[in-house]
Amino acid sequence: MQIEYQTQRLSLRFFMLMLVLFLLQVGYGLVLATQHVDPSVQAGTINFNIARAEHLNLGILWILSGFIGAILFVAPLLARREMVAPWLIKLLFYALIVIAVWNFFTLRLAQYGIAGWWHGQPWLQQGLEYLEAGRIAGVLVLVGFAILAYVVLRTFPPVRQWNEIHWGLGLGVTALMAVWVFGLFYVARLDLQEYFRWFVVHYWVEGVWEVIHISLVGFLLVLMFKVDIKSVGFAVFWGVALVWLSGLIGNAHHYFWIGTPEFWQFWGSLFSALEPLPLVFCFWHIYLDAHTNQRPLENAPAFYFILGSVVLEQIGAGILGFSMTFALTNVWSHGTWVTPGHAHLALFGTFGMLGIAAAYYAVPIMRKAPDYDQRLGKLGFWLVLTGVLGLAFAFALGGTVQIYVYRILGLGWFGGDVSRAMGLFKLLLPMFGITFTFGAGILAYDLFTLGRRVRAPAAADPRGVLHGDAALPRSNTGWGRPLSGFEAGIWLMMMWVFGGIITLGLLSFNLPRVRVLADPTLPYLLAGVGYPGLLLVTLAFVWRFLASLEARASLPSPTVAANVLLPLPVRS
Amino acid sequence: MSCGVGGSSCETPRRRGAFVMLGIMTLAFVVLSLFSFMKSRGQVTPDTVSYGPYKAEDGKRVFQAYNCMGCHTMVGNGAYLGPDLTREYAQAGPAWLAAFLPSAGSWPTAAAVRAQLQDPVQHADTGAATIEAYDGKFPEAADRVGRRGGKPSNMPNLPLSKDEIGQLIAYLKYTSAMNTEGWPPRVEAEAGLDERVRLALGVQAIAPAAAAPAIPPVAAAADPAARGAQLVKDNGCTACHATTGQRLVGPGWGGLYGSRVSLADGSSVMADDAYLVESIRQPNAKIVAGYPASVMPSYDTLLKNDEVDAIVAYLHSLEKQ
Amino acid sequence: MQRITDLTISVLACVAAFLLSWPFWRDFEYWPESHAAWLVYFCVGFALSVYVFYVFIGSLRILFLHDAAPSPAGDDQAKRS
Repeated sequence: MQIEYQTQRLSLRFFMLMLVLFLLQVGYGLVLATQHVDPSVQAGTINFNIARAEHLNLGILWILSGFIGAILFVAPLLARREMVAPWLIKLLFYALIVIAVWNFFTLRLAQYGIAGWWHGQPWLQQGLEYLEAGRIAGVLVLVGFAILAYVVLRTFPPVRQWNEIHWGLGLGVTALMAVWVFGLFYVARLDLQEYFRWFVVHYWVEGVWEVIHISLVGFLLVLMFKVDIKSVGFAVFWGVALVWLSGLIGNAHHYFWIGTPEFWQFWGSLFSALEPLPLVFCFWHIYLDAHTNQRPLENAPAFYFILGSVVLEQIGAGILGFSMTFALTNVWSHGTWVTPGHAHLALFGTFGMLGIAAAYYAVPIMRKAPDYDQRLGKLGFWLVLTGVLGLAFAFALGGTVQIYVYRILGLGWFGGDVSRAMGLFKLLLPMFGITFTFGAGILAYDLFTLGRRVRAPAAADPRGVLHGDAALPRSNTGWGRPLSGFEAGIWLMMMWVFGGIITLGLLSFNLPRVRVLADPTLPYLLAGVGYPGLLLVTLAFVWRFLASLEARASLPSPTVAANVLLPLPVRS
Repeated sequence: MSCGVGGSSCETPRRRGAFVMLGIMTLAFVVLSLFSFMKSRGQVTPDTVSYGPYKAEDGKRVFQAYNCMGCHTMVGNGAYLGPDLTREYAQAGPAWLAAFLPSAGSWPTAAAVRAQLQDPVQHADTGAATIEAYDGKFPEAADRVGRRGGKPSNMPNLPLSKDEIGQLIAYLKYTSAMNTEGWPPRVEAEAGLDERVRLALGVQAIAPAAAAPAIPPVAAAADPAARGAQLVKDNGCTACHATTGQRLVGPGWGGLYGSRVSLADGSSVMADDAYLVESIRQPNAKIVAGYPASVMPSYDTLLKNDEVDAIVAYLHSLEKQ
Repeated sequence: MQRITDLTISVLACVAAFLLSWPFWRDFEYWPESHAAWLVYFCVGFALSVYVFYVFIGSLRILFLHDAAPSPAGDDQAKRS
């Protein structure tokens, strides 16, 4: 496949920026993991809260950067014409860099207690989780979103010709901007501040990013597997509809304990229990699209990361989210390490991996290297997947110990008991962090230099090992046999069984035996079975899924017929 | 016909139905949100809470300016390096907080908390004038002092001013008063402290620490400098002052005696015995240039004359490093 | 028949979710004057969640039907009962 429209090339710089910001974020993550083990490391130079603000801020920026890159790459294909106003896109690129650099300097001011109050607003930094950046950066981001929305909507054909993917991306980029506005006001009441903060964070993730995610995954599948666009359109529509039907009120799971009334606890639990439904839906969608036509995998890393995105979404956002979403379980998990286990899988897994997938899809095309060496990408995938699953494991088990010591035994931090009891799991963080860092470094190196490295001549690679389309004894039996729908269902069910065990583990903290007699056996046992089980099943499933794809016969790749890509009008 | 392609006969009503339902949900969400913040809800608001002259509303700005949420949780949201701060005021009380916040790098000793009890704002707020009354009101403060007093903490020293500290206390008073609907869950474990520590860590870690309360020993009375060193330790002075020339929260002591000190008002003074005694008894009389006023409490009524003299003798012994 | 099965599954799933979400540990202190309001609140919540689950099952089935279809864009297969 080749570039059809010159403006698609604009996406390349966003992918590269994404990788730079990603590496920086991982670096801050390593600092944080080290400081969890020994808080005196770099204290006074980079205090934990500064590093964490950067970690979250860069996390959002690189995910957005990947989204923008992916959107810019597919928008001309969807519109069947060049992007309008490329100069605005270039401006957006520089604006993103300016914002990242600006935040690097302003977020540090928290160490000196400087927020830049002026007219009742914090202009330099505001010390709110996920929304640490001050008003100046906030307004700049708003302008950036406006540019993106303008460019995408102007490039798209008239609304009457839109299909579901147009709608998904169009609504996504518009809502991205609209939701952000709720984060641009200082609120004096803590309960109201948290209410609006979650408005931005939850609706961004659940309402907007998820919509963009579904649309992009759908369209990438169309591009990679030549799936029929109408059936993808159907999946995109109902994926988005289910996300909103469950997530709109599901936001209430953030309103349990922030000072809002207790009635949120009921609807919040009930509707966010439904939030995994669109993810299950998306899981089947990708399974069906990848497995019904028996095409070989041309660009393995790109599909690896799409699969990683959908699977980690399933277990991170779906299963771990489900386990802690009921008021009865959330009362324990809230404010502990159990939460970041879910957050790392859900954010990096779902959205980060999608950005990397899009980069792996688009960069070889733009650099004219369709037969690039795919081994580094695969290696990087396995390293970051293992790393992030390990992080989630350390967080979740450390969090379980934390709940017991902090909430059940009532031993505060001030006795020094909590962090001592969590010691082992704190040590696991930098370990898996380093695994993850290696993976991230390999990915970044691979994508930076892809198409620029010296290529092994095809003659020296008779079996096509380099290009990933020939796993050595390519067997269609055993571990590599085709994955049937039934088997995929069994895998999914196993994940949910472990999810159920995790949920019961959190529920068991309510038992008098645990709560009054302080006997931790049951929650420790359930967590000790549930979390490792879930993460190992996930790893095995991804392995199995990819093995079955790798084992497909290597057919000569058919050139993409341009008309497959044509967006068909929904109603004529 | 296929259901599932836009425009087909059964797909269109399904999609319309989803939109209608989304509309209903949005409406319900807005109505519930309105109910959440009405006056009849009876939730405390920051404009009604103050700690002496300090307003909770100002405290929230300080809390955000230092990005406290980047290490701590507040109503459970934030980072998980430090403890949750929602009930901090209710647990430890204003005197413990006032003793801790200026020199967060170490845990306050009993004497440091006692020094804060003289603060009229604290007294008006809690009604506790003695350490016994205070500990009775805030038993967790006594626990913390007993187990950790004088030891280094994991928090870095922050350049908080006297006003910012008061404002933060006011803000924590507000969050303590909030109705958070049953979170954090009440501790119902029946075991005693020792037993709970054993359950958490698997060791009998607490006994020696608790058995050594901060009572100034009298044995060292013979050598005034040695006695002074002990007093400095018991009173937690080194939380703020280094025994070298290094700046912590307050000026370092190494080589201080006999040196010339420039003051905030532009003048300078010789650091003789009279100056050192005055700086202990009336710390705000002469403020060293570059340091904020009113951060150090007065030790006028807390230390006897011979104790102050012993501390001064100890300061004589510290040389510039 | 299909609808009845779907609806039954939805109701069952939502009863489970409902039980896990039931705020029996709380005292209904807000809106104390009106237990009717709470009742309405529970019922509406339950009905809405059954709807969401029902839609999910329906959409998932169609997703599989699409897939089973030889020509995905075909117009005359997979007729639902």
